[in-house]
Amino acid sequence: MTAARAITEPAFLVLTALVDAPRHGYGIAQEVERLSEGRVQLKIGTLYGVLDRLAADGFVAADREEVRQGRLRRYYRLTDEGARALEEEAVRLADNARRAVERLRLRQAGGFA
Amino acid sequence: MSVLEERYRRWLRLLPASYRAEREEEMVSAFLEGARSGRAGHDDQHPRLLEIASVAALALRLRLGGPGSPPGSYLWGESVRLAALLGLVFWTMIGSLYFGQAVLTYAVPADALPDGVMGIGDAGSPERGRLVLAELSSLLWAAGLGALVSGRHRAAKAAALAALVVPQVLVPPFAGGWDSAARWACSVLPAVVTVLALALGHHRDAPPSRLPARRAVRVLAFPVAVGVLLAVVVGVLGAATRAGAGPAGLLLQAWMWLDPTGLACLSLLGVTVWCVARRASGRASGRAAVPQAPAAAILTVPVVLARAGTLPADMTGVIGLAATLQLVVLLACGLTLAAIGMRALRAAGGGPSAARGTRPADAG
Repeated sequence: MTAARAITEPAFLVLTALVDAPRHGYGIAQEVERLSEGRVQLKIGTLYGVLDRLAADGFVAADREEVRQGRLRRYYRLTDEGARALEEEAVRLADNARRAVERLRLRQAGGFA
Repeated sequence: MSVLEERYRRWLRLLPASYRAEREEEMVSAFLEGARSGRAGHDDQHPRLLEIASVAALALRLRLGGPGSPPGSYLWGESVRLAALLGLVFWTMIGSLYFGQAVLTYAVPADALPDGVMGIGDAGSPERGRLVLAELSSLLWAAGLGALVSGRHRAAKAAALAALVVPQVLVPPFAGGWDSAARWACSVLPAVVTVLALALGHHRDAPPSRLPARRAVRVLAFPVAVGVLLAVVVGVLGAATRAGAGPAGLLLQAWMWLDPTGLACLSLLGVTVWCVARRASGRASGRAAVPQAPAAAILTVPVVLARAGTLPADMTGVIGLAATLQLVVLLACGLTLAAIGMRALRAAGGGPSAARGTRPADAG
């Protein structure tokens, strides 16, 4: 495993998509689109690039394989390490958002010149 | 197999065979599921451009791998990244040479130099202003190199692209006509390849480009110092040529080796000798394959094309002889470097897929 990299928005959304259940490639792409309210639409090449990085960092792992209508589906699950990394990133983003909101409220209240 | 599937599989051939063996079926499955529901990239029976671009970008990252990639693709990646670094070092030297020449030509008081050597255009004219700016903009190569060795590869890419484009915008590169355009295209090819190597090699999965501070300073200072020294040499040679001192043939030969292509030829000859010597000592000590030879081989290709595409019209005189000699030296260097590089790549081997750890059997 190589040193963990910064978690990008697509990687954050892929990890979030895997929190409740293992998902296969297209299922992850669908869930990411739903989570981002249509803003992030992962192309297949991009999705697998993100999955490769997350797997190399130990944040996701292959779960099982299924064949549906003659097509292979490989499911991916969130690892414990991935869940920890996602939580840390979520807390960091939430802190940033909270500080931004506090400052904006101060500005609206005339606290900033 | 549908036409859409067949076409998508054709695009997936961009990916390394080992990766395709592991991922092709699930990628096709994911793509076709999206196509059925009208969500993934497809347009009737053609995958959309963005979908193809995402596969191409993935292929590039896999083929020019970073740490953790199979040894073969990692060596390719390191070779391209080293080609970018060596290219930036070379163009920083040329940029410093141009800067030194600009200072000597335009910043020295008019009465300190003989008549007729005060550059193009009148002092203060827009023509001269553009020319001076174009020569100063070549320092952007140094900015690119500085950014790269300090770990800011995005800034390095932007600076290198600006160093390539700005002089062409400020000073029209060719007067017109296909012949003139073709010669210009050949002459800029080495710089274009440097920018491309920088853009392609330093992707998201590439290792950090930051060097230790002292080494970074040395890597930046060396080409700047050589470039400034060359500017002085060019100044002295110019004065000797104007004064008619020394044999004209010898002076013409010297000029041929001091233009960017001539200097690239000398630089590549130096790197080739170094690679051969290192290979000989490496074979004795059993050192692992290194990316220097493939990196220099990558840089040799555009220089050969630049030399071949800008040969003088008259190949019989001294200039023709120098151009022929350069072409022979470049071809010999290119073949030697390619041979050493191929051996290094073969020694690195194909290796297992980068995504091996994601198979269910490996999941833990």
